[in-house]
Amino acid sequence: MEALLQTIGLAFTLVFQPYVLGVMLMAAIFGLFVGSIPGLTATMATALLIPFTFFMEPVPAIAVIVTTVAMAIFAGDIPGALLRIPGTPASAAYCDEAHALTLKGKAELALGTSLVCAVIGGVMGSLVLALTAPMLAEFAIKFSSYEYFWLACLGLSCAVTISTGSNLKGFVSLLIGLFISTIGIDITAGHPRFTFGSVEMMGGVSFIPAMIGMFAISEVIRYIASPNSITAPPQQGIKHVFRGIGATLSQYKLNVARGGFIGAIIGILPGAGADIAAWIAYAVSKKFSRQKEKFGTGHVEGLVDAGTANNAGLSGAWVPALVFGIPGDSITAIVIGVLYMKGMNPGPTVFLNQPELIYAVFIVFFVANLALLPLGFLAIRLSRLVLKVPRNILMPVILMFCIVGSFAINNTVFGISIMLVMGLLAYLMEENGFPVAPTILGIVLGPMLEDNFMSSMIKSDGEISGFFSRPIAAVLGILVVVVWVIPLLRFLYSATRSGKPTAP
Amino acid sequence: MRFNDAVFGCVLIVFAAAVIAHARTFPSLHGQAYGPDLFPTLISTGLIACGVALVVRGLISRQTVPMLTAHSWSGNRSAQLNLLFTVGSVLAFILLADTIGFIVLAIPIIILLAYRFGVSLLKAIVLSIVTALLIHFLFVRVLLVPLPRGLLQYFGG
Amino acid sequence: MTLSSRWFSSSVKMLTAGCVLAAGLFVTPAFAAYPERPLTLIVPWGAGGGTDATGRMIGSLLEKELGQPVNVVNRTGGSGVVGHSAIATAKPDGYTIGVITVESGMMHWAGLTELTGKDYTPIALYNYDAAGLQVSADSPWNSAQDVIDSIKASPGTHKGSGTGQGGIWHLALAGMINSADISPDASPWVPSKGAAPGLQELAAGGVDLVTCSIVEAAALIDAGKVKSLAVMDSQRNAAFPDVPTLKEATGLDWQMAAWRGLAGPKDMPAEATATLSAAFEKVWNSGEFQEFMKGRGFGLVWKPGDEFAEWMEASDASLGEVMKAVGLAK
Repeated sequence: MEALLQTIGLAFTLVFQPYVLGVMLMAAIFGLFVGSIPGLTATMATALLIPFTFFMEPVPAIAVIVTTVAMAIFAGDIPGALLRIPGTPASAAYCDEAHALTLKGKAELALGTSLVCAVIGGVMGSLVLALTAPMLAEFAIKFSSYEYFWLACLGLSCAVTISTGSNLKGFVSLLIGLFISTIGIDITAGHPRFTFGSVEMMGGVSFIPAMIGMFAISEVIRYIASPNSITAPPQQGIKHVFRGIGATLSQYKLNVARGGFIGAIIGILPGAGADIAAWIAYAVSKKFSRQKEKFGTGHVEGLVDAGTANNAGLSGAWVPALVFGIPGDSITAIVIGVLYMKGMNPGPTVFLNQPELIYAVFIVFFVANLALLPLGFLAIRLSRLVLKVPRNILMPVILMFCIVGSFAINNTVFGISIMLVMGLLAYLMEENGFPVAPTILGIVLGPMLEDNFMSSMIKSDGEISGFFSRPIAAVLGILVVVVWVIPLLRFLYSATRSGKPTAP
Repeated sequence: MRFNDAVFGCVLIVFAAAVIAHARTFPSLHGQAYGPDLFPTLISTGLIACGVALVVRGLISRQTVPMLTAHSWSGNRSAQLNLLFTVGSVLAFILLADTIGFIVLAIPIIILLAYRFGVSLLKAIVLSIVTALLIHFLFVRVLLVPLPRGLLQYFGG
Repeated sequence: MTLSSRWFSSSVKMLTAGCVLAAGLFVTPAFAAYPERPLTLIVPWGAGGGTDATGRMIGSLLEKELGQPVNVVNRTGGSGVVGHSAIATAKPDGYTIGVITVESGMMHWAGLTELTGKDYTPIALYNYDAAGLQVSADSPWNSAQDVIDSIKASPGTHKGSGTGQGGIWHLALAGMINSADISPDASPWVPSKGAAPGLQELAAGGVDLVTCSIVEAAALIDAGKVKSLAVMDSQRNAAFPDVPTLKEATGLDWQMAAWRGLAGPKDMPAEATATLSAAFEKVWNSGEFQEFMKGRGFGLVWKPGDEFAEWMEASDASLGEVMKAVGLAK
C-alpha cells in the first residue's frame, strides 16, 4: 500500500511540472482549433504532433496527445451545433439535434450540455481506464470476427431508431450508405469494385469528405435555394453557458451514466471508436426515452447520452493499447508508436516495470478532461461571434473551409469531388423526406459488417452455425435476432389486424 | 425539387439492377458462394424491395402528390444562377486547383459568391482576401497541409 | 467555430501580413539551389502504421538536413495502390517523394496497376522486416515443424491471418507451405486489415497462426498471449534471440520480408536525387534515427540508389514467382 502511494506521489510530480502543464495548455488550444474545423480530425491532429513528441520526455509527450484529442472531440460539437457541420466524425450522431436546439434559440443549452457531458464522459472514461484496464482488456481481446459482426448488426439497428420520419425511407438511406462503403478494393479478394479503372476510386469513398458534403454542402445549397425562407438561428447571447445545466443533468443523470458506460465499453473494443459510441448511445437514448417524439426536434436528452459517450470512448480505447499493444481506435494506433519510441513498450510488463509512468498517464487523463471545462467555456464564448456574422458572408467562407477540409484528409482534389457529389445527393434526399444520418451510419459500419462477415465465413468454412459457436458471439447474435425480429413481428401483427397493408 | 415516391422507387430499382449486373462480373473466391459480389448483391436486393414499396406508395398517393413538384425557387432566376455558380465554383476548384493554385482560385470564387449573395463588392473583395490568406496560413503554415500552390510555385516563397 | 471570430479580429493583421507576403513572393529569384521550397513526402499507408511512423521520422529529420519543410502526407487506400500511384505519377521535380513498400512489387502481379519498381527514382532502402510464424500461447504447437506437419495432415483446417488477401504476410504463409510441397490452399487465409486485427483474432482464438513480422507481435508475446515459432529470415532477430530461423527449425529454405525505401517519381533531376541521397544518408546514420528504429524493433538496412533498384528488381521477380505459384497473380 505504501509502495503504491509512493508510486502515485512520484507520478504526480511527473505531471505537475510547469513544463508539462505548459505544453498541455498549448495542446489544448491546438486541439480546440483542429476539432472545430470540419475535415480536420483528432486523428490527424495526433499524427501532426508526432515529430514534436519525439523530442519530449514520455509524460509530456503523452500529455500533449491526450489533451489535444479530448479538446478536439468536444470542439467538434461547436460547429455542429451552430452551423450543422460536425467538426469531427464523433459529433455527427447528434449534430442535427444540437443544431435544432440552436434554431430554437437554445445554442447556450446545446453547447453547455455538450461541454459538461464531455467533461463527465472524459472523467468516467479515465476512471474506467485507471481502475480496470488489465481486466477489461482481457475481455476485449476475446472478441473475434463473429462478435464484431454481431456488434455491427446491432449498430445497424440504430439506423431505424435514429431516422426521423418514414422507416422505409430511413432504410433506403441506410442501404445507400452501405452501398457507398463497398466502393473500392475489397479486403476479402483484393478486387476493385465500382472503381471503373480509377486509381482514386480504389481507395474508396473517404468518410470525412462524405460527411462534410452531406451535412455542410447540403446546408449551403439549401441556403442558396431559398435564402429568405431558411430559418437563420435567432440572435442569441451565449453568455450563460452553464445556466440550467444543473437541472438538465439531474433530470438525465441516468443518461449520463449510461452514455459513459456505453462509451467506455465500445471504446475498449478494438475496431470501434468514439464515433460509433456516439451513434449507439444516441440510439439507445431514443429507444428508452419517454419522449421519443421529441428527438430530432431540438431535445437535449440524446445530446446528454451521446456527448458523454464519445469522450468516454476516447479513454476506453487506451485500454487494449496499453495492455496488449492493440489499438482501440485510429488515435491509439498512433499512440502505440509513440509509446514504443519512448521505451514504454505496451504490454503487461509496462504496468510492472514502470508503474509511475502508467499512473502519470492516468493523471494526465484526469487533468486534461478537467481542463476542458474552463477552456471549452472560452471556446464557446468565442464561437458565439459566428452567429452574429450575416449568412451571406458566412456561406462563401464555410464553402471554402469545406473545400479545404475535404482536400486535407487525403491531400487530393478527389476528396472535394466526393464532398460535392454527396452534398447534392444529401440535398435531394432531404428535400424528399429521406433522412441522411442513416447513410452516414451505413458508410461507417459497412466495412465492419462486410469484413467481419467474410472473415467469419472463411473461418467457419461457410457454416452459419459458426456465428453462434462462441459464448459472447451467441449472446450478441441472439440479441440481434431479438432486436430485429420483434419490431418486424409487431409490424406484421398490426398490419394484419388493421386488415390492409399499412405503409411502413 | 420534390418527386413523387414512385419516381424515386423506379430510379432505385434501375440503379440496383445495374449494380447487381456489374457485381456478377466480380471474380469468386476459390469457387465459394460468398465473394466480393455478395454484399453489393444483398444491398441491391434490399434497394429493389424498397424501390417496389416506394412505387406502390407513390402510385397510391399520386392523386395528391404529383410526379414532380418544382420547388418555389424554380421560377427564381437569381437562386438558380446562385446554385449554378456555387456548384460551378467547386467544379472549377477541382479541375483547376493543381494548375492555378489555392490562393489565386479561392479569391475570385469567394468574391463571386459573396457578391451574388448580396454582399457589396468592396466588402466581398476584402472578405475574399482575408479568408484566402487566413486559410492559407492556418492550413499550410500551422497544419502543414500542402494546398496546391499552382501559379505561385514559380515565385518561390 | 472560431474561424469567423478570428477573421474579424485578425483581419487587419492578416491584410498587412498578406501584403508583405505578396511582396515577398514576387522578388524571390525563381532559380536557386535545390531545394528552394517545401517538399512533400507521400506515405501510401495510414497514420499510425509502421510505414507512417518511419515516414514521419524521416520527414522531420530530412527537414533539418535540407533546411526546407517536409510535409508528410498520407495517401491511403486500395492496398497501397493509391499512394504508390501518387508517388510514381507526381511531377518529377524533386519536390514530391515518398516511402515505397514491398507492395510496389506485388500490385502489378495482382493486376491492380501497371506500375512496377521501374517507375520510381530509387533514393535508398532503409528498412527490412522478416516474416515470423506466430501462434497462440496455448496452442499445442511448439515448433514450426509441428505447424507444417499439422497443415500437411489436415489441409484446410488451420487458418492464417495478418493482412488482406494477397498481402505480403499472406504470401509468407502460402510460400512457406508451398516450399514444403504442400498445396498453398491447405492453410486458408482469413483477410484482416493489418497485423494488429490479425493478432487480435489469434489471441481471441479466431485463427490458428499469424505470419506478420515478429516486431508487430512483440507486445502480445510480452503479454504471454502469443508465441513466435520461427522467423523467415537468413538469421535470427537480435531482439528475439531464442526464436529460430525457419531453416533451423524445419530445414525449409524460405524467406520473406517486408521492406520500405525512399523514392521519387521516375526521371527526377540528378541534382535533386544526389542532394536527397546525401541528406537521407546523414539522417539514416544519425543517432536519433537509429535509436528510433531500434526502439520500435524495425530492422535497419541501407542500400542506396542502384543497389536499391537491384533489390527492387530481385524482390519483384521472386514475389511474382510466389504469387504465380500460389495462384494470387492475375
